[in-house]
Amino acid sequence: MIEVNDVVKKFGRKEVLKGISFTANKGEITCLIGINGVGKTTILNAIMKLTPINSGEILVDGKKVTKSTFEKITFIPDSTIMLPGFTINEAMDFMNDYYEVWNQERANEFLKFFRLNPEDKISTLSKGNTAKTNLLLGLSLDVDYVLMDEPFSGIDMFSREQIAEVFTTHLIEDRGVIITTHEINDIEHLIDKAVLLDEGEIYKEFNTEEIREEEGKSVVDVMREVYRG
Amino acid sequence: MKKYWKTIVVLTVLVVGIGSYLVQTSLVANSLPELQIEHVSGDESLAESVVLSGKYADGKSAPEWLTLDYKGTEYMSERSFIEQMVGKRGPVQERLIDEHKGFMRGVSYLHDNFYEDDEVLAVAETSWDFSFQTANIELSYLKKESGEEVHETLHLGSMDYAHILEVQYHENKIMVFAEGYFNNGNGLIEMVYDLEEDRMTQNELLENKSQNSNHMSFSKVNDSVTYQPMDHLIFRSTEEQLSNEGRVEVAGTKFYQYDVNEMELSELELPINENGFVSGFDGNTVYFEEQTPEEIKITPFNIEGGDFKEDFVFEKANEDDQFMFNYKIKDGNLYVLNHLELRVIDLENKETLYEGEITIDNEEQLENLELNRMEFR
Amino acid sequence: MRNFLKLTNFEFNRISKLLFSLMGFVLLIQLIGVFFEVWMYNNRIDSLMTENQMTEAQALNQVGELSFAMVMYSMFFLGPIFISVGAMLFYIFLIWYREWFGKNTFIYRLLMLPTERINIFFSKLVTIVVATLTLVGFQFLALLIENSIFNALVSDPFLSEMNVVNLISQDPLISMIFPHSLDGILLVYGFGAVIVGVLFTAILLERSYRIKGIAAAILYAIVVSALLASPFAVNELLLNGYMYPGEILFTFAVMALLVLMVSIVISRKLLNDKIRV
Repeated sequence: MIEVNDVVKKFGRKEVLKGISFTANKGEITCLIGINGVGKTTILNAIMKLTPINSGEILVDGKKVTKSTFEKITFIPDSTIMLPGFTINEAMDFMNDYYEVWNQERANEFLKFFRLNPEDKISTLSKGNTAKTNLLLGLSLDVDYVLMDEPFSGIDMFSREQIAEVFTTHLIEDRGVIITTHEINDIEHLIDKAVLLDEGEIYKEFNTEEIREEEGKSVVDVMREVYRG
Repeated sequence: MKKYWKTIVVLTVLVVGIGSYLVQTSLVANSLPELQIEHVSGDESLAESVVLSGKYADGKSAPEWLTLDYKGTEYMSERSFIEQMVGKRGPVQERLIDEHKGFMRGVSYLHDNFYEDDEVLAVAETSWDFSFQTANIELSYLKKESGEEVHETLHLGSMDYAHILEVQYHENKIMVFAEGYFNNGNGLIEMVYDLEEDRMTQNELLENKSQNSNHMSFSKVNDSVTYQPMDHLIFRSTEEQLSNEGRVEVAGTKFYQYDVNEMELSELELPINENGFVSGFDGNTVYFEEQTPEEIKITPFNIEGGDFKEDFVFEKANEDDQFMFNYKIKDGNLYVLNHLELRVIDLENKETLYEGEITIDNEEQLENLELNRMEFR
Repeated sequence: MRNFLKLTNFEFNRISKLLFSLMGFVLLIQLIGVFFEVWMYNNRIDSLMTENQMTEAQALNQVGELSFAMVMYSMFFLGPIFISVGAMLFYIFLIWYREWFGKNTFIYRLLMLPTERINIFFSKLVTIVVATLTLVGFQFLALLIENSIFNALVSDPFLSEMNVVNLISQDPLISMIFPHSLDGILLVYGFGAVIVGVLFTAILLERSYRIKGIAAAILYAIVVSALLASPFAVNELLLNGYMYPGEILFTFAVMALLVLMVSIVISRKLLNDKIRV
């Protein structure tokens, strides 16, 4: 379980996160929803210790994040984080060099699934293929938790479909996923839990299954209520 | 895992490059001649305090500075980087630091400004006091046996600055002689610090303070070993005037002897000019040196009796070897380096007490060698 | 440790392009210098012989022999060295900032590696120091090559043959790059490593706190300078020269090690808790 407890983050005087708390469970897809600039990416960065927080606490399986946590959790940002001069092969080599949990078989599956050429240089890839490579490098780690930042933004329709498909396969199963997005449509049917954010605060945290069954509302309905009403 | 070749190339260049640099450096050092003072006859212990220094210059590369003593040769360039940074002091200063490490702390230079005998060591240094914009003399004194130290700051009074010429010690009194500079002239100053009474007295032995007189400078006739106890000191006043062409020229030189036991200054007649130049003094005897193409003549002159003693004559080994002649007087003995021969002669009976020969491992390199300085440790 | 070595090898691979180009550049320009100086010299001799009707011996007498010093103290030789020094200084900053800048922010990946983050600091530090020493080593090999080509180009009566080691030790600037014994190399480049460590800390301060970090970095640089100057200053101003030079040097070395340790501690804290992507 990933626990985010009362996290406050300031940029200068501006409070970006005003005491955020939520949890994400293993085997569930948790979606952080909000318009751009509400601090969704900051939360993911904070979990990975890529940005300091001013107060609060983040625990992964009850423990603070240390170097060994990075064998348990992976983060797929919305930009490439590999050297642009690397080919996909070299990037996979790099991952294999440092991560004990790197799973080359799974990486090969992804290559086939996404129809990527491992000899291609990362800097020459199209936007869609860059996102797929990102996904490949992140998801080929046998980790318990996956953080994904806007996996669908700015890429073509067919790539989006392919990526969305991944969520329904064994490639994601059993893992805890936190995903951020500002457009819910592509994955609405996939997510187990939604966390609605605005201006650094959590408006609502709910289980999508429950709310559908008990109140007959979709995620978009709840969003409409919250943001408009 | 396979991408290690660049690292291997980089590390190879590093190791081969730096390695061959270090090897070449030591090869160059090995090509320098090794000198040795070989004992021929007499009392070897006399030569142990002798330190000869000079340079080896083959014209191809920069001169290599070296010192030679009974242990062998040491080249400056052979010293490690750290040793070079720490710097090398004169052999006397090295010995004194070795023997009296605590006392010698803070002593920045040793030249004519210290005194040593078996019982005491005294150092005087002129220091500049920034807060008061005045110069002082820092006097330190060590009783060797008890280890008792005295540190005194002597104020210069009406003097602006003092250039220390000599330090002597006699019966609990430390005498510091200096050329002092006043706002209206200069003079030869004697500062006597009485250790028992903890009191300083200052006398102007000679002065030149009148407005329209020529410039005068005061100096000391050099003693062979500046720090040893002396019965007499010889000072010199040199009057300088401007010639019509605007050049500074010497208008007249006067000599004075100072009796250390009586603490008295009196004029001294020295038969200069006819006997060559004054090249040494040991407290009682002045040594004149005269060179001809074939030989070097040293003539002792006793200042108390005012009479000459028998000459010492040294044949020049070869005409070009002018740099390889050097002599010093210490403890009643004459130390002479003549070409490759080091000799210690008793001044009284002219008997040779020690004879040594400087050997070189490569004879051909001899012509590039100069030993132009003799010191005692 | 294994991750540190992997990271260092990785950094070597990244710097190697720069390193190999600098080596080629140094050798090329310095060789041009060799040919140029020889050509100039031959021209002077030739013109004296043809225009002034001198014999070879007379011309040689007037111009003097040609020694490799002419090459070594010329801009053809020193220029590439200055450029290499400048490139390495620039690389001290580039080695960090390139992880953040551009479209591909590699710093994410580096910080998420399952290893102590301080290893990133160490691998970059070792890379800078080793690369510098490699350039120094290469320069010496290049000197040997250039000197033997020079000796082959200049015909006998005109050549004044010199040893490069002597020429190195005679020039204060070049002998700074080539300290004359192993302890000197360790001391000079060890101190260089300390300074690089301080610069790294300053960079990480900026990367953690941005504008405010620049102020902190400047403050840190001032504190470090004061610490490093303190053995000399205290001895001169407070102790009246009480310490012997060897003791001052030792104190200075201790201070430098202290500065390195403080830099490592600060950098470790910054990388673990304060760094921003």
